[in-house]
Amino acid sequence: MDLLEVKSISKTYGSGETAVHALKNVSFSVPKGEFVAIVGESGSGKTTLLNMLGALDTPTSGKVLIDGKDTFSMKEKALTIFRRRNIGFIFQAFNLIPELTVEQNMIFPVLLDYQKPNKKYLEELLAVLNLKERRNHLPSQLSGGQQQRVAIGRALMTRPSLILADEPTGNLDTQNSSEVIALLKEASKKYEQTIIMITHNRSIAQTADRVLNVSDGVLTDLGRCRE
Amino acid sequence: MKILANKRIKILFLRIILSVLIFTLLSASFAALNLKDAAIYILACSAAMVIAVLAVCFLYFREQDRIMENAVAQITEYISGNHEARIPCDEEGELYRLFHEVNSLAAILNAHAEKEGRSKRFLKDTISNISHQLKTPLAALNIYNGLLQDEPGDLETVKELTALCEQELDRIEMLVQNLLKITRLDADAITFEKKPENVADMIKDVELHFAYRAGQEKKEIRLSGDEGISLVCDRDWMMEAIGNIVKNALDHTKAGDMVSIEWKRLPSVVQIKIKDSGSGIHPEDLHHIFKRFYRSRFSKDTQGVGLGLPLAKAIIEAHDGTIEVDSRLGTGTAFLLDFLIPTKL
Repeated sequence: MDLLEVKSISKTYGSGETAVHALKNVSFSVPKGEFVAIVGESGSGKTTLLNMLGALDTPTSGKVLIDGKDTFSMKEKALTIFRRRNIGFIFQAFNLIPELTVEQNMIFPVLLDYQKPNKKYLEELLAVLNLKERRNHLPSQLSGGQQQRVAIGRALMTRPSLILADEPTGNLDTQNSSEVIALLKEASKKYEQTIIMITHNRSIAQTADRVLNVSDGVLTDLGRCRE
Repeated sequence: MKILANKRIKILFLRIILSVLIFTLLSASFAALNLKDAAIYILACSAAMVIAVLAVCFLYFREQDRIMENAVAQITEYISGNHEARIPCDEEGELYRLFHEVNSLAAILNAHAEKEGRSKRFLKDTISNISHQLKTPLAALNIYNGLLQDEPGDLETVKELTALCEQELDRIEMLVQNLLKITRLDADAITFEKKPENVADMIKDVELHFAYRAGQEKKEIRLSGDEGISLVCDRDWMMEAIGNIVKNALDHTKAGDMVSIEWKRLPSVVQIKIKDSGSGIHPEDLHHIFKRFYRSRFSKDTQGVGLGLPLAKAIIEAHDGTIEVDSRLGTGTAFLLDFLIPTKL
């Protein structure tokens, strides 16, 4: 059984003559531990697709199964808990909480689940993300790249089985982005995490196990890079 | 209060508090009203409270028991072969977190089983690939041999044919060597002797290896980087990986072109960049160059068998590194190797 199964989802905004078909009958599945890159032009439906995968948006038709569970048939409350434990999001716009410091932002999802944060893991993450000296800063006191790294740390903190990343390196320079990608890959290998990442950068897509292309709402599998 | 996150425990406590409250209120009112048999009423009330508390506890533990039984049933189901069995766990509370972890464990087990299956299939494919790849040079050798037997007198033709033979034999040798390496890597039959190595020294050795060939083909290899950087790796294998990428660069450059190797240390990675000013990789090929036995439709290189880059990638990944390619047709290619400096992550 694959960790993620997408069964012919479609999304239409509006209706009648003004209907926009953002996604057309998209199906694919991803085994556990695979690192998938989604490429495609702006407006082709990548972000819509990612939001569906994370159950942040509901499709017009079709199903998404995460570890065999149909996310769209779940009640809102159960879904919230499910999402918190199983999915890590890295948004294009970071979505950090402005009142919390770097460290607090990172452990926030752990506290939501009534757990004690793992101090050692937090220290490791801060070190790898090069945020040690910034741990007590507020997001507004950080650069874009640093904020992005905090968002990545937050997604990795709960060790979710699925990480959805919308252009995680969009605001970083080449050097920083290859570090971030190396980090994501390492995490996925270590904890068998499945990563789905939207990117515009072809050479970053290259490092993925598999590349999917979205064009005008239609998804094509460009194949696995290995094997 | 962490344990009250669980809805059922919270309800249990609320109910017990409620029955105690009702009892207290009733007894207080009996006492206040100064009824004749207040003592008996209070006694009856306390009995009722005890029964109520017992009933509430009973209901709670019965429900708890049902949840546990269901969990056990799901685990047994999984063990008996249904790999899609999972315990419902989308509620707050420690118990459900335990169930969630059990589910994750099951998912990881599945993933491992699947990987195992994939590697078996892969082995099968590799064997068929090998036999296929060996067929062509062997057929050629066979033909040359036949021709040689028919040409006892003509020294010129014999020389030409033996040269061709040698070329094909080299090709087979190379193929078999690389295959052995790559299958040993796949089968985890190699233990890397990882030690801190000086990157500059290692790369100079690689350069030395290719200096003669580069000179012959009038290409330049340029090195730049900090002398002091070290990387924890197996020297021989790392040189093999870098060597394969340099060889690939030399294969796809013309006389007068340049191959540059740069290395530097960043906060969390050591980076090695191998750049050439050669023909570049066609965008359609870019996703496939690390696939074994992949042959481009666009490249004019006919000698390689498509094992050098996959081998390099396998070695680099065995060292917790990543390899990226950036290439533009006509202007050249850059391979970027990143090695995470070991952490406990």
